[in-house]
Amino acid sequence: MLPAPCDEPIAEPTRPSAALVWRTRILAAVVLGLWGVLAARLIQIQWMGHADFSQQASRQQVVYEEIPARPGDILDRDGRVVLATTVSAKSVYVVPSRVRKLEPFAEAVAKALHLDRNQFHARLKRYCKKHFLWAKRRADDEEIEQLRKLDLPARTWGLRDEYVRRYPLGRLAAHVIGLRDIDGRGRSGLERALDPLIGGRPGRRRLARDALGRVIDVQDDWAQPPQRGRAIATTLDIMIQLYAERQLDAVMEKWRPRHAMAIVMVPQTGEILAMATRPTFDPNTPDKVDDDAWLNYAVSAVFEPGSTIKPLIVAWALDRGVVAADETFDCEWGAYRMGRRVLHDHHRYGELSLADVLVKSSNIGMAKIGQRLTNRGLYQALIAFGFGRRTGVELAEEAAGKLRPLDQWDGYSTGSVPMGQEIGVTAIQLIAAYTALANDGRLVRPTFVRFHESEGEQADNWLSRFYLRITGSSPDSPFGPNVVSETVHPDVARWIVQVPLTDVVRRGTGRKAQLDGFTVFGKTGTAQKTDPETGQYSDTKYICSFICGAPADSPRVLVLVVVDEPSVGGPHFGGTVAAPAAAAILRHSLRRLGIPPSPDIATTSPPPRISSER
Amino acid sequence: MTVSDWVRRTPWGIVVCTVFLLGMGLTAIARGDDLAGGRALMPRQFVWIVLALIAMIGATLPPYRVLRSWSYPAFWLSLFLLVVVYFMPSRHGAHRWIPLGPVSFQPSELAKLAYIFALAHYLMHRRNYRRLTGLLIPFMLTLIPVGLVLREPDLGTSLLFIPVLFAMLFAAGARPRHLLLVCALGVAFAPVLWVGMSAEQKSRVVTLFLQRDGGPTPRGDGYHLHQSKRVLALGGVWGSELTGPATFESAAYHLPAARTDFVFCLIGERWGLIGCLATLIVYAVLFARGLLIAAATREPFGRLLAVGVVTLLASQTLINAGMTVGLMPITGMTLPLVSYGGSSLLTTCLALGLLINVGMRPGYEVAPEPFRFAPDE
Repeated sequence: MLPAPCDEPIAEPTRPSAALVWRTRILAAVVLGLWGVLAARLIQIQWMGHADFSQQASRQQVVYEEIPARPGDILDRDGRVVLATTVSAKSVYVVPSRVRKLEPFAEAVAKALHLDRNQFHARLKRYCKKHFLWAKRRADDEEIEQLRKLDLPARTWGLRDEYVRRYPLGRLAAHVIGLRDIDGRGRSGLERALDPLIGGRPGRRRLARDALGRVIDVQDDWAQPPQRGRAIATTLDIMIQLYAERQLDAVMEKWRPRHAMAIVMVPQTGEILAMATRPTFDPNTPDKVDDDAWLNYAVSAVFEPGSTIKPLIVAWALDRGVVAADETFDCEWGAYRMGRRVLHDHHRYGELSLADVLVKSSNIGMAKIGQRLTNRGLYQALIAFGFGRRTGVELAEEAAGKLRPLDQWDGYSTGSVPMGQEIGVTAIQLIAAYTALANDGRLVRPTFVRFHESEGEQADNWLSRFYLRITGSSPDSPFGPNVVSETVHPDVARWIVQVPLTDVVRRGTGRKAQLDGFTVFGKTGTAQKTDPETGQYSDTKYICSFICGAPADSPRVLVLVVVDEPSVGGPHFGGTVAAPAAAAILRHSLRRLGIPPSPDIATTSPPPRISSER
Repeated sequence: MTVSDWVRRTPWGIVVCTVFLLGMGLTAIARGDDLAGGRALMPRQFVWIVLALIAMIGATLPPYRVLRSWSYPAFWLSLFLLVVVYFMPSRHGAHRWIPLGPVSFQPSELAKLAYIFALAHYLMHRRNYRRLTGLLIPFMLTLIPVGLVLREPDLGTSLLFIPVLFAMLFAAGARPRHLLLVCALGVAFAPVLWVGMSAEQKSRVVTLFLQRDGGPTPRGDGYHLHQSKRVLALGGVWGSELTGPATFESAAYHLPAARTDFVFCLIGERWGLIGCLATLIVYAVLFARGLLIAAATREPFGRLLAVGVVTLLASQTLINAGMTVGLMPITGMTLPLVSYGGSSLLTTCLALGLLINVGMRPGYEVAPEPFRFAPDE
């Protein structure tokens, strides 16, 4: 670029302007110095003077107060019975920093509120500099009246509205419903898992208090109103739940096991009609609960399933084409050598049809099927039926079970896995896997949510959208089929249910589950527990389970009963301990759901030979 | 100059600082809108910012040496407009604005720029400012616009010309003792100026010394200064944006002309001490970069232009921030780039555009471009 035309020579063209650079620097120094003065003055006003100016401004202070949101109700499947609801109560707080004489104050307040005097005084003393201390949460009206009569200075105490969660049905379905802590946060069960939906969103408002702490102004234009929680209708049927609980009580009475659990489920939709666990607790008195009773064993206890896994393995083998329905298996008369290991059956069998392998629950027959499937096939079967991962039921305490990675399996596994060893499952996983058999091969996700309030009004907050997404139910069709995946061909599933599983009840190990008027199908399971001392399978500690459903031609209900370590009476088999209870629950559920019995189906006479299984 | 040259030579530090300050101004004006209620000025300011940025880019395009020949005509034009403005209808008792349809225009803003041009043009040629008598013409150049602006009346703006004159004389090479002598004369004449000042102007100076920080709210005299300091103080260290407003008493936030002359208080209220210091630092960086440009420019007209622009903006910042914190008497003066107001914004951005213009052409272009192999593509 050429320089612009210039009529006169540029001033001092030859002298590099060292002096002028120096002059520019002086200018810069002056500017920076003045800047320093300005900054110092700002610090003086805004930092050191802040308190002066603010106090002088109004002698008032601003506090934020949280307005709790009312949690939504939890209802039964028809929305009629309230399982959990919310009532309001008043809580008393004190302001220790404003109390002149702690001793008499503590005494008076403690007397009015029925508190321990010394304890309260100690607490008051410890927090004497604080501006807020709960005196009593959820005080009753009479106590508050007493406190008012004391005529204490208004600035030293106050009331705050709080919500209290109530569970009108007490222990019924306590583990499923779960509970909220004193601050209103869901701690277990549905209360915890659905908290984003049920819990609502607390609001905030700003209060201006004067120097004495009195509220002089509520800033409503800054207030964020609380958003109340949504009510949900669970899938629980309260009558079936009640009956399941009663049956478990009877089981506890009769067999004195450590734990017992029962689940009732609709196989087509995954809706859980009842889930009960023993021991249990009353959520209304959370401080009086044994440590043992908190856990919901139906979703968190992991056990070896034993024979109940066999029908699933056989179904997978049939589906893969490695066995045929009309095939027979040589059961080696009770002893079969696999590598260094000799497998035994409880009874000795020769040739057994595929159906009879299940009916007699032959471990040797299953081991041979396992050999045909190979470890890889067995692993695929377990994965396909949903083992080794959470089912996705709406309970945060759900365990994933125990399924070792395939590369940790060995020759032992080929024989052990088909008979339900070397794998840990939860009760919910087991019954969910059976939905695949009872539902033409379609595996469904167990669920507790029938519908919730915000569905109609278009779930609008991101939390509920997120919730709907992670639980897999699409916001558009919350009543959708809830299917996770397709596992085996419908023909295979129907054959397993209608032939071997029906025979288990008709003439096999599950005869105690026969019902008048219904073709019941089922499978017993009796798993030896590992003795923690020896690491070996115990001969006295069993987990007895029975899973059954009816009617066999189109299953409407599935029932699973698991009894952990029955300690009295005997013998302790799935068919003797769990089957009667499961059958009773099944009978009641069918009647409750209005499924008509067919008159021509009657209980068959006891077969000549007592068979049992291990 | 190609586009890539233009991008490469632009002193981006100045651009970044400018954008930061413009943004800071928008947030402060938004806070002012909240506090004042009524008509929101923030969207209008946004439009002004867009126009001003366009003007700023425009001011970088022609080589500044071409603009030099326009120095005197522009100066005369601005003097003419300063005379014209006196016949315009008064607003708030002052003839400062020429109404142009929906907007109005302040000729004193243009006069500041034209004055820098004229002075730079004069000082680059003459060497006689090394003598005391030679300083007469620069002083005449200054006194005419100062007198006209004083008559509007607009004391604050007229005072701006003085530091610019001194800085430019100093940078051009005037003897320091001459300048000191002139300063001494000015101080000697201060009593005369005092007598000439109105009662209102006097009270502003007096409260500056008498008002105690954090005292009771005065009625009448000193109210504005008190409110200014109070709004700043209410922001505290972290500002209401982070900690929430310190009080709900709306009277505490009452501050006349908050979004224009007292916008610095709004920065302090919204962003606290942190925000104020950040703003000051960015200003300092901006001016330091401007002075670096001046030092790097060998060509005297460009160097004087840069010094003039930096001094003008720095004085304006200093006087404005100084008056909000009670270090200077209150005068009607905008905070460059931050205050609401179109004329001020346009002038400031034009001035910064010129500064960038000088920074892009530091003088070595006088020699022809040396031979260079074409870059291999």
